[in-house]
Formats: sequence, C-alpha cells, structure tokens
Amino acid sequence: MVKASADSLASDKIPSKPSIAGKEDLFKLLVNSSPNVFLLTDEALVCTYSSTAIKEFFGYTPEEIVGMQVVELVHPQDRDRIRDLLLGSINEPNKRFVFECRVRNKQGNYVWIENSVSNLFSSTGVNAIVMNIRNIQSKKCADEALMQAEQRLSLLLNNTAESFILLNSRLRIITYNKAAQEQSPFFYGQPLQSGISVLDLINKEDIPDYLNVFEQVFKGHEVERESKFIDLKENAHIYSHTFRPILNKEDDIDGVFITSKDITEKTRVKSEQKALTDELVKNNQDLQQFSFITSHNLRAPVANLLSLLSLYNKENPLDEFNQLLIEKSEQAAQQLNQTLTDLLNILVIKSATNIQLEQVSFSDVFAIVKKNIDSLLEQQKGVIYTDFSIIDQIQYNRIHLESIFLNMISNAIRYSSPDRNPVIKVCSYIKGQWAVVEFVDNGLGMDLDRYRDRLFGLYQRFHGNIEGKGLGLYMTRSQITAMGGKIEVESEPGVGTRFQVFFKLQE
Amino acid sequence: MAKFTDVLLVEDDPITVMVCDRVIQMTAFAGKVKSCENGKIGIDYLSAFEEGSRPPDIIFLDINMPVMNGWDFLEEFEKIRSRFISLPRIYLLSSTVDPEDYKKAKKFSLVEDFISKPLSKEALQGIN
Repeated sequence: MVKASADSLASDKIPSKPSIAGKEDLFKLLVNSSPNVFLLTDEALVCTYSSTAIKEFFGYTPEEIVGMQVVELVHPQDRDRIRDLLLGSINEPNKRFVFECRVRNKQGNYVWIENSVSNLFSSTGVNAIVMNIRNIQSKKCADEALMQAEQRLSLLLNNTAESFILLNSRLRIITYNKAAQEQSPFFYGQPLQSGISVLDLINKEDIPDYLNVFEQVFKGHEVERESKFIDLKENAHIYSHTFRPILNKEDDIDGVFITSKDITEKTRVKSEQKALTDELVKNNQDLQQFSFITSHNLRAPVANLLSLLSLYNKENPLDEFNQLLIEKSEQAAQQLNQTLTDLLNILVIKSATNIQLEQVSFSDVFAIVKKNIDSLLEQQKGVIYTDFSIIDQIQYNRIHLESIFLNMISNAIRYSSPDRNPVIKVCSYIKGQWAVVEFVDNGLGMDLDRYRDRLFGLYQRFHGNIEGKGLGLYMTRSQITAMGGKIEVESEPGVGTRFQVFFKLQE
Repeated sequence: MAKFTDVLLVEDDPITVMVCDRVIQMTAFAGKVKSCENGKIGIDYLSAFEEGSRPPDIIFLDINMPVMNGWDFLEEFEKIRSRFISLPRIYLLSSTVDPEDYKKAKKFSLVEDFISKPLSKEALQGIN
C-alpha cells in the first residue's frame, strides 16, 4: 500500500515534475512575465527578492531593491499605517492583506499602488512575506478627479444662497442642496426629505396652482412663480421660483428642477427706485408746468404793455386817450412787477432749503392768525371753533404754518355762503404717520368734478367778483409739500368744504 | 363799413379788453364788440339769445379765466350751439406757451385758430 501509494504519488509527479532547477526557472518566468511586481521580504521588511517588472514600475532594478527596507519607500503620510499593517501580518500567517498606498519611485515621484500581502513564513521554500504589487496610479487619478469634481459640484451647490430641488417624473424629491434644506421650512412649512412627493409639502389650497405649474413644466415650459412668507423673526420675504423640465437621453421629460432665490432685497430696491423715478418724473412735470405758467403770466402783462404803447398817439400827445393808455401802462407794469415778486416767493418756498424748523403749536398759530382775520370775521358775522386737544405741537416752520392757517381760514370766510353766517371748525388729530389739521366750513362749496385738477394750480381762480390772484392754494400746497406733507379736499356746492392738511410726524 | 357785424370778447383782464376793443374799432374789424369777463358770463350771455338767432360772427376767447375758463366755455357752448342758425368762428386768444394747450385746441372743431396776445392789427387783417 505504502509502495503503491508511493508509486502512485511518484507516477503522479513524473510527467510534470521538473527538476528543482527547472522548477525555479519556471516560477521566475511566470513571475517576471507578470505586469505586477512580486516582492519578498524578511521579518524586518527588508527586500529579499523582486521580479523584473519593478524596473518599469519604480525605475529600480531588482538588484537595487534587494536589501532595501521597503517601508522606507512608502509615502511619509502612509508609512506608519503600512508598517503597522505589515508587521501585524507577521503574526498572522497565511492571511492576505490588501491595501493602497503611495510609494516613491527612483525619480522621487510617488505613485499609487495596490498591494496584496501574504505571510508565507510557514510555507517551506518561501519563508517570506510575499507582496503582489499592482500599479493603480491611473485608476487613482481618475477616481481622484471624479471625487474632486463631485466635491466641487457639491461645494458649488451647497454654498449658494439659491436653493435647488430635483424631482423625478412622479414629483418625488430626488435630491436638494443645503439652501433648499434651510429654506424649506419657510415656504413648505416642513423640512425636505428625499423620496417624498413635493405635493405633500405644499399647502392644500396651493396644490391646484402648483399642479398647473407642473403641467406646464411637463409640456416643456419653464415656469416662474413668486411667493411670500414670514420668517421666524417676522420679516416678510419674497422668493422667486423657477421650475424647469429635465430631459433624459431620449429627450423625454423625466423630472423637474426647482430653483428658488430670495428676491426681497432686490424687490425692495426695485420698488424704491421706481418710487424715486416716479417722484422725479412728477417733479419734472411740475417744474415744466411751473415754467409754462410763469411764462404765461409774465407774457400777459408784457403783451398788454406792448399793445398799450402801440395804441399811443405820438402825433398828438394831448390826445385824451393817451392819458388812459399811460394809466393802464402803469397798471400793466405793476402787474408785471407783482408777478415777478410772487414767482420769487414761490421759488423760495419750493426750493425748501434753509427752512427753519421749530416746535410750533397749532393753538398759538391760530391765535396769531385770528387777530389778522378778526375784522373780516366780524363783518361776515362768522364764528370759528377749534380743538387742538389731541395734538397741538409739531416740528414746522412757524411762518409757513401761519401762512397755511391764514390761507385756509381766510378762504373759508371769503367764500362763505350768502345764505348763512360762516361757521368754521378747525381741529387736529393723528392719522398713522401724519398729524392732520382739518378746516371745515359751511361756505359756497365747489364742484370738484370740474375743478379738482385745477384747485391747487398756479394762477387758477374759481370765483368772479372776489379778488384773488389764484396764488393762495398753490402757495399753501407748496408750503405743505415742501415739508413732505399733503393736502386733501372734499366739497359739496352749497354745503361747504373740508380741507385736510397732513403734516409728516417726526420719527 | 365794418368787416363783421359783431364780435364777442371773453376775457377777464380789463387792460386786454380795453386794448382789444380799441384795436377792433381802429381797424373797423367789427361794428359791435361785446365783452364778458369770464366763460360763465359768456355762456349766460349766449344762452339768452333766442332760438334760431344769429350768434356773434367772431368770438375771441381767453383760456385762463376764473369761474369758467376757455375750455369750459367751449364745452358748454357745444350744449347750446343748436339754438343758433349759424356758428361763430372762435379764436383762442392767450399768452400760453404750454404745448398741451395747442393740442387741446385741436380737439375743438369750433376753434379756428390760436392767436398769441396781444391782439394786433395784423392778426385782425388775417381774419376774413
């Protein structure tokens, strides 16, 4: 049996059994034909053998490598880890370790390798640590590039104030960026989560609108929407959302890309700019109107002077009519002078510079104005009731305020009804950011449908037989608007008029 | 022999009225000049004409007047024009420089032309 088995063993080995020397040559041939490098080291990790592929790999010849401490070639950052691993392998015979690390080649550059290490100290004839080293530099570079690209992309996506949400064709959330995650509780009321339907996040009452949006998107349209919400600090935000279809390789729409951004500031700046532009346009129109009206009112007396002089009888200076022409010329010259004075006064008010502000009391101002109009009031048998109990003091220019009160009250008396004695009520109150002074009379009243546009116009007059240059209400309004205020009027012919003067309260 | 029978002058400035009156007389432009000091008085005057009567041949109309201005007058006149067997020729007489006024004047078919103040002999010669 023993013989037989020995024979059979022997006969088994015979056809393939090379001589010891031949066997070693065969292994060398196999090892050296591999693109991988095979290294053997002793327990101190000193190289005892290297396959020839090492030359191509690291620039070293096998002779140069043998005798080297292999760990010395490992990148300093990887070295300790690799040394521990290799030394650890010494205690674990027959176990295979695979690791990746950077190794210095002969030129001094580091290349990435994958190393399979086996402890074959127990294997007779080997008695070494066997390393099978594969060059993974290009794979590693590609991996690195991909990772870097991904990192950069996520860096981009997560460091923008704009929020991104990606939905699949069933409107389920695939992914989203950091901004979307942060903003979501505000406009959806809850945090985002991959896999859930975006419709579950939207307020029930808004769903029909959003379904309409998605319908448009799946038809291939890009849709924009704005939404408002209040944040935790009670600040109102305006968001602009864009919904874009996502096409797959077959050009079918298989998802939705939602981008949202906070346009609160942009909207605020835009509306401020618009308000400013509107104000400028209005001021410009006012100025143009002012120049037309002043030209008209300067031209009128000049035209009169010219025509009066053209009628002057030079051949006979004693002509009776000449005397009348001289008188009228004097009047026209005075009219011209008065117009210039009035315009100058208006310009001073309109320029609004150097207007002295002080604490002024309505009741004080009224008392001063009352003295000026007492005789007129007596003549008309009028009475004035006042009530400044709610607000009596504002920051204003005393002279302007007196002029406003004088104009309002004297108008109320002057345009009183012949059917009844004038009753004028003046009172003050607060309305939002305004201190309001109200002047109510029971006078003639006006047909505002006809006169509203012209009421505060320059050189606009509405009553015959009553003296007036058409300056009073224009001046009053200028004195009010120069300080940021406004004036409003209600009137009914035959019943009376109510003027409300709004003074901006100091913040 | 005057060029026209009668002229209505709707104008609030007394000096302008006097000058116009004088120029019209001197140039024998019209036999009779009636002046009204604003649009309302002008309309009241014309409203008193009997049905089927002849209106003034020419109306010189100022724009900026109290109570009822030139534009109001033109609107009001539309309401009473049917009482006249013929229509007056209306000339706006103004010192205005506002282009809006010129545009507005074109909307009224009754307005023949715009005359810049002062009313001159030359301007009257151009009206035939």
